[in-house]
Amino acid sequence: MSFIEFDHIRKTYANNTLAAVENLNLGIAKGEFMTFLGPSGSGKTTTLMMLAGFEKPTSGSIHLEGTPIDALPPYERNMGVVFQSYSLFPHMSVAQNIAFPLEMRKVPKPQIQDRVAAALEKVRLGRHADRRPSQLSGGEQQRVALARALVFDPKLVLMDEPLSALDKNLREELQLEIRRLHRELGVTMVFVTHDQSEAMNLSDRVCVFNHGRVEQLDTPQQLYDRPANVFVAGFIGDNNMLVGDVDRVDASDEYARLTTLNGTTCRGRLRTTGTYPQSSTLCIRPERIDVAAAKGSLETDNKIGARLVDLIHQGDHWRLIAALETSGEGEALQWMAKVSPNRLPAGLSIGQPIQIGFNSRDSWVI
Amino acid sequence: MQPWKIVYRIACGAVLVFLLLPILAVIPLSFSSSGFLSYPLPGLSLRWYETVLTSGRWLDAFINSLKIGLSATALALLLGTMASFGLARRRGFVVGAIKLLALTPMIVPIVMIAVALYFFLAPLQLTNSFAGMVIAHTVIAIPFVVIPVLAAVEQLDPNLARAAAACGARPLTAFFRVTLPSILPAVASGALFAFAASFDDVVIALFIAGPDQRTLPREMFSSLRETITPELTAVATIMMVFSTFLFMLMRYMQRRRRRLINVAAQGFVSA
Repeated sequence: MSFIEFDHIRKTYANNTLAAVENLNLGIAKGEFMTFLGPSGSGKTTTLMMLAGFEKPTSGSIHLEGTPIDALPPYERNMGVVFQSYSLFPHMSVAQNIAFPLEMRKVPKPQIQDRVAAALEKVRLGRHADRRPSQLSGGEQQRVALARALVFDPKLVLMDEPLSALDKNLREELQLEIRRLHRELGVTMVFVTHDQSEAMNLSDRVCVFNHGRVEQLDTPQQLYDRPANVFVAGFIGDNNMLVGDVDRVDASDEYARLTTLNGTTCRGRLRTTGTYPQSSTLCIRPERIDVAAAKGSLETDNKIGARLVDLIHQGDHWRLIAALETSGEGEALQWMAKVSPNRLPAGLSIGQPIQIGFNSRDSWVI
Repeated sequence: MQPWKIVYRIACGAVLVFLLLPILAVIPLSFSSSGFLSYPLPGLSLRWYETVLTSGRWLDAFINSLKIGLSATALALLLGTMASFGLARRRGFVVGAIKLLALTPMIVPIVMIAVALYFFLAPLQLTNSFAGMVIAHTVIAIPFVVIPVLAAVEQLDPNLARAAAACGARPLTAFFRVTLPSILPAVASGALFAFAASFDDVVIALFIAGPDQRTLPREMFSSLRETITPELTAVATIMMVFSTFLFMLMRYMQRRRRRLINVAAQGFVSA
């Protein structure tokens, strides 16, 4: 049994027939950095709040080290919690804020001072001990909240979108800080975010939520390289998609041919062998796409005709927006390709016809 | 200057004059050497202050007012603060109705409340009693607590109490160590206005108070009917000074509290 077990957790609210969390079964290992990732309303925060004890599951049970904690109130769960709104105590100084959990645990005074000083050092805020929260910047306030959540050596640290209120640079700086703290302290951390790059940066494993259900639970690399379904393929990183019918499967059961309504055909790798829905989606990452100006110069086994809609210089790569050629009616599907500067064909101009190519082994038919 | 700006300034000035002048006009009269309330003053004297401070009648009334005011304030703070937490961030018909009900004593004419309270308290044998006066004044003081405290609670970070719980604080500890200190300025101003509502009241006192609960305003009212002497203006001046002093004290304490927290924080680390 894992360190933390969610066992058939279901959560409904009185004013909503749809469950906020539906049949959740999830294990979190000791020392792991686990991220709950999903769009707003996907159930990720509700799940975290149930773990913290602020919300009660409608049914099911949560276990910590093998014992159910459902009856335990939040103040007896021994978990550090960090909120998006910082939630520092405004009438206390930074040091008093950090000392508060130790006071609640009746730690002797001299010890409190040492541990507060050590915690402040850990988040590099030693100079600000006497300040009040309102005198600190957002990033500094969240460091104080972090120190307050860590100072009592909790079994578990929970973070509810802690960096969402900060600007981009500060966010990345604090991500590194949290990574370092996790590495140094070895404490189990559960982190909630709607930002997939944040989840990729921080996590050992990511649990992708959507509509109250877990879409996929995997390492960041697996989520990116082997998405379990179309939602994950579209939510993690960029993906180009093509919807069509699987009309031929290889003898090896590994590759399939997909034909769209307007007659475009592509070959892609089957994500699940054996069973697949008739109507499937082919996904291909923008950086796996090759582009050529003329027919025949592509070495990939899939080639699609398109028209160049836009060409954007992004420093380390070029971003191409291309409208796929369609024989039928309706709006053309737009794909995006990321091409490194040395592979960009010379003399491309917006509006001209181009060829898009990719290898079947780089794509997924889901 | 634009003409309408001149009009605007005159209007502002007029408001101040009409608000302050009648109050301030009382003060010189209390120093009059004559027994009549009239200008010009025939001479200056402190005889009325001597009468007020030496006669037990005014001192007793002042102490009564203080006792009733402080008790009603304490009760209104307790009930009003609890009501604010119950009403904050909730919507719906019942919540709306209770909010309106809590504010009614401020809206309904005070005479109506006094009559209603009289008929309510009389069968309970609570008229002519200290408890009755405290109950009645609590009723009129509650809106003065609910208005600022409810606003403060609504603005409070809802995660603050959760953060305290996550730190290991039981609900009561979390309330007294975290939530209450965060809304203390609102509670303090509520307390001051609640006390002022009780300290000022004459109408309810006329209906409910017995001979042992003669409050300062009631005593002033009855002395008005007997003989009008500058003694009354001396009492009024003392009351005014007292009220202004209370208000200044609160302002001072709020500022000092802000400073104290910083000092305490420094002491905490250097100790």
